[in-house]
Amino acid sequence: NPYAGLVSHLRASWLSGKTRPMEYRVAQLEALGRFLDDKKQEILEATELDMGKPSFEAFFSEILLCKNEINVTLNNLSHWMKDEHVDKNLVMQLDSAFIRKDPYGVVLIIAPWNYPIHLFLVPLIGAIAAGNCAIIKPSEISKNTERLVAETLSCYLDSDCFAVVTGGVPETTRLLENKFDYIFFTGSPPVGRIVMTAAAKHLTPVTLELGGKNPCYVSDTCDVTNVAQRVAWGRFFNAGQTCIAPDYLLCTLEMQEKLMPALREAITEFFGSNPRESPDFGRIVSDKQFQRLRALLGSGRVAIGGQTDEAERYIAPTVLADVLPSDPAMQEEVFGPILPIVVIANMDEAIDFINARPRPLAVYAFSCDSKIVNQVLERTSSGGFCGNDTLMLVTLASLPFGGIGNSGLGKYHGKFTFDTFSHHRGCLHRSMGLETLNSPRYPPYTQQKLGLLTTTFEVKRRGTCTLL
Amino acid sequence: MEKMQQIVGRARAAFQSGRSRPLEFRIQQLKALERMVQEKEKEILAALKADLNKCGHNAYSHEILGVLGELALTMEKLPSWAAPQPVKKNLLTMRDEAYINYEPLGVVLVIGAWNYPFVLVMQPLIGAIAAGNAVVVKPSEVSENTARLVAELLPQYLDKDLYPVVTGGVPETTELLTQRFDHILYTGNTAVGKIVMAAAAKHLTPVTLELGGKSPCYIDKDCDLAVACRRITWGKYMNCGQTCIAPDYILCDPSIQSKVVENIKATLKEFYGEDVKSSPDYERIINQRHFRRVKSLLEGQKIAHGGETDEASCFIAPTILTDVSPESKVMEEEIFGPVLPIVTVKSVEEAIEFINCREKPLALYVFSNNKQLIKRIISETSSGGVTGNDVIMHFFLSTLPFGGVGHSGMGAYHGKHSFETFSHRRACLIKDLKMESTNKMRYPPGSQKKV
Repeated sequence: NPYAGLVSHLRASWLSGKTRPMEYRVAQLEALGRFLDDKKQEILEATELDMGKPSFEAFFSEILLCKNEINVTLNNLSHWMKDEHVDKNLVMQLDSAFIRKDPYGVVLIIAPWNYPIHLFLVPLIGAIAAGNCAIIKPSEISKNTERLVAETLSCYLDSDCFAVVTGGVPETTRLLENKFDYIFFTGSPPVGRIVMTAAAKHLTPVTLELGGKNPCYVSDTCDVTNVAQRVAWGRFFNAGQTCIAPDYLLCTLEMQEKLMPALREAITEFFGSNPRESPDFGRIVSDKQFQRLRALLGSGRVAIGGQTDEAERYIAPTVLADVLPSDPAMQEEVFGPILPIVVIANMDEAIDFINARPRPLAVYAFSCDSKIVNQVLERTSSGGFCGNDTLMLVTLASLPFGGIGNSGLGKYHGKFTFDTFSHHRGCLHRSMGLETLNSPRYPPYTQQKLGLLTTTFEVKRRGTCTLL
Repeated sequence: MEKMQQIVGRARAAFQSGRSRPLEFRIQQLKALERMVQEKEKEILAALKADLNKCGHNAYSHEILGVLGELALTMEKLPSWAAPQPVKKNLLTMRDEAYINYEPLGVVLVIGAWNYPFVLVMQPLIGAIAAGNAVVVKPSEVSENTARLVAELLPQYLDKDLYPVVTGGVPETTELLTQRFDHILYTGNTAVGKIVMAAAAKHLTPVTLELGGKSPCYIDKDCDLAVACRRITWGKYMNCGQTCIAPDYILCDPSIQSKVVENIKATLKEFYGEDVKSSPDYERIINQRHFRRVKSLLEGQKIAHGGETDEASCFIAPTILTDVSPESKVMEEEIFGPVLPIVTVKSVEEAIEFINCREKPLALYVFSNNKQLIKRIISETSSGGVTGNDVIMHFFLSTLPFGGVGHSGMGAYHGKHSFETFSHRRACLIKDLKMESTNKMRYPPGSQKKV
């Protein structure tokens, strides 16, 4: 077991208790903030090399959003760490009852390649805030970022308590043989299953942030220009390689006709007439992904874009019209700058279409009519929901971010990350005195004792009269 | 093979019909459950007596009272628990609606255990219904009378398609676990917990595992021994020690060991009289297999009190072992029986170390007059839950999450925690389709100014 030594080193540090004091956690979080500040340029460069990430996007997702999470955490840490006192029943009025937030111990964070800093760092913030030690396993596919993290993170964090492990599938498999106290995985559903199965051997709790096809319903009553902009933005950000990107559009034939010029205009406004020359449009991360995506272009008909360049791993911002449910683009999560449009007759059909498929990470609905937005919300199920926009729900740290069913289990961001990495321990601290109050519970049992016990313990529904 | 698929399929179709979602429906089902518990109290108590020789008092106070309380609490609070929860917004989302919507997960599986066979299916069921799910209930086959009763009663009171009861043993449960559920709550042992989680992993099903372990009980020199031992005796020997949060073993200084034994002995006499076997308030071991298992733990041990057994009636007397070696069999696995080992430790540090080099337990108990010491032990150890200066009681406060950590489990329930366990918290952000100008700054072409 090549990682046994590392894991037991971290576990020893954990048992020493050094990650528990708030001052320690604050210091590590502040160091993470410095990492983002000092290495900003290197991060922008590495992610550009990895997937042509435009520096605007990289700054926004890899630096700004991460720093926000650090600050939200630092601003609230002492409050989050405090014992949470709970309401007591009659019998326990004189006792102290609270929920203690205990760290789990040594946690493992496995991150994917598409937002390679953000997707390990934001979970790590919560893991540190909650008092754990952590092993970080960045993705080998975003290899420049992987190298950056492996080489520099240790200069900022306490290497007794935080380590970076690099490698591919074989290394990750060996790593998962070890016992961790929590595993946080972001990636695809098939690998999510593998991770959870490995975790089951040690009864390790997990959070799995997976994916799926996020449907985007556009009703006939909407501001077409605004819809086109918001959808195009969400779809083509990071060249479509975003787990909560609108994966496909559902609308009527009429709306498809109206949207097309609006989408074309939005794309031109964003990326110019030749997106390949725009510094604001990314590239596909690998040859494998490029080839996978290129094969999807045969779905429906190419209404916008469709150009590709293998050497650059460039796929133009593309919209496919009249896509059929049986087409390749509808068989898997797109995860690229291709937007299939599936024509449906009406909202009910759209809702049925969504519900016939595995539950996605996000459902989007666009309409000027708030009743329609609400209908889609109420009649579907997904990790999260956004009405009249795309992506934005992940920028609000007070909203839990996570999936359901195939799109994942657990949630994080803001306090939810802290809670994810804490064990909520129910504590009752009683007084040694007042022993007579306990006597109804002791044998030998009598009807009288039972009556007393019932009176003191029972919860009556408000409005029921106890006198009768 | 087909049978399980049909049952779960029917539950799923029933869930998809949407009828379990309206609050009125959920409350109506909970009310029906309440009626069931009230109307069939005699039958429930009789089943518990047949399964565990549980006397009326214990059965009522442990299994019925708690269930009625949970039902009353849930019915009252459900509207507030289920209401969408607005969240704090930032500058960009100031004009939007941002909230967390509580939604059902779908079809939930509840697997019960045999030691508190009624409450351990009922409490999760209450939470799962309250959250709007369909629920497949699988009571433990080991407590066969209660299992049979639950299978008979639930369909008489609840929606038959939404809340089916499945009975059977290991083969049936294994088959059931191949089906797809949207959450599984399992109460039982660690070994089977792993099997349940592995089966759940195939479908990416979230799980709540209420497992067990050896719950340590530390008695400080500075404490009222008479009171401490009384409380410990109550928690240890109730249900013949077959309680997941029973104090499993005692840690104390050698100088107080014999006093501890004396006090427990005196309390045992008070509780069960001179002849424990003829006390109507003392239960029996559930079956011969467990009887033999617990009995074998006595081999080679110093029996300070008790030790009498009778296989025919699965009787094991309340037993105390002293000067127990940490390496002995009785200190390896969860005892789950009326045998109380005392392991001596010379300091609090030693006790903490002893606890920390073992698997995280479901419960931790500390008895001391010194509040700081109790706080210290809580802070330097980990466990599912804690009660200081008493045992078991944290289970009865529904505002505390009840669950394990590490080998003692994952997830928690009781009260509102049940509702949250069985709900999906869906993040919702509703924006205006107008006000596009505020979005402009996030769109390409990017520029330093925009950033």
